[in-house]
Amino acid sequence: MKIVLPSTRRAGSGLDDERLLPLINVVFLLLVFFMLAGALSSPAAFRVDPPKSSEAGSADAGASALLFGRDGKLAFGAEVVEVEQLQDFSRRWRAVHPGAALAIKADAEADAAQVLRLLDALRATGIDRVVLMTTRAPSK
Amino acid sequence: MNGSTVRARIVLPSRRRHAIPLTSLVDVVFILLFFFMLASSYLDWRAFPLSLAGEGGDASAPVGHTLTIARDGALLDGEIVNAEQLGERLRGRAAPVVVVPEDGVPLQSLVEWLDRLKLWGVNASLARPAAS
Repeated sequence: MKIVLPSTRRAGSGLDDERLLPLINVVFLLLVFFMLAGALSSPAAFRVDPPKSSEAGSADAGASALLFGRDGKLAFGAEVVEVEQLQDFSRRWRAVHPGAALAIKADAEADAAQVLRLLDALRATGIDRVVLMTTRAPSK
Repeated sequence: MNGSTVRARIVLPSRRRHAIPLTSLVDVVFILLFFFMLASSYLDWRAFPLSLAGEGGDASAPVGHTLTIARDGALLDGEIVNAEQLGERLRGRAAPVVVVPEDGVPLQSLVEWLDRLKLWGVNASLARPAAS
């Protein structure tokens, strides 16, 4: 008795490579799409759910921002900032971004009065232009 | 030259079809694809400029109105107003409005009121509540 096994196709043969070409085309297109559509961001110290606003203007998503958590914690990127270090943070930030507005990513559930106290403290250290980062709300 | 023709035969090296092995290329491209899919954030960030009241000294700027945001509503100069009443009173007025959120008001509701004021063309600035 003779059992004929189906001949296995050799991987890497010319015919196989030809059949991979449409797959590569599609994967390359997806890759380019995700590279252009998404903004790479540096890791953040904690998660922030931004408030929604219908009237805010466009913003640079990649810019690093001062994070203000739900419980009032502060961080700049992955680095936690204590309130006592605000003066030091402000001096370093102003040296890198002279005259620029500081972006604040505050949680939607954070205490608004605490955010304004932070703004007050920032103004005391010399940062008087501040923008609040929001996401887009469906306009009414 | 004895009259016979000399025939030169040039043998071209057989060209390989693909210099790069496509299977490993696909592997790498897939890894890149997953990296960009997972590492990117697709939030549509917007910027809302915040201006604190009293930029040029506390007493110099005349205050038009004070809008206090409480947890369950808003007070214009101490009087409870809803959004429509506030719009009727403030729409198109040049007088600046100082917005003061009370302690415990979530940032989302402050942003919603600031949105409305901006929509009505009101010149709004912010102030923190007096320490309780």
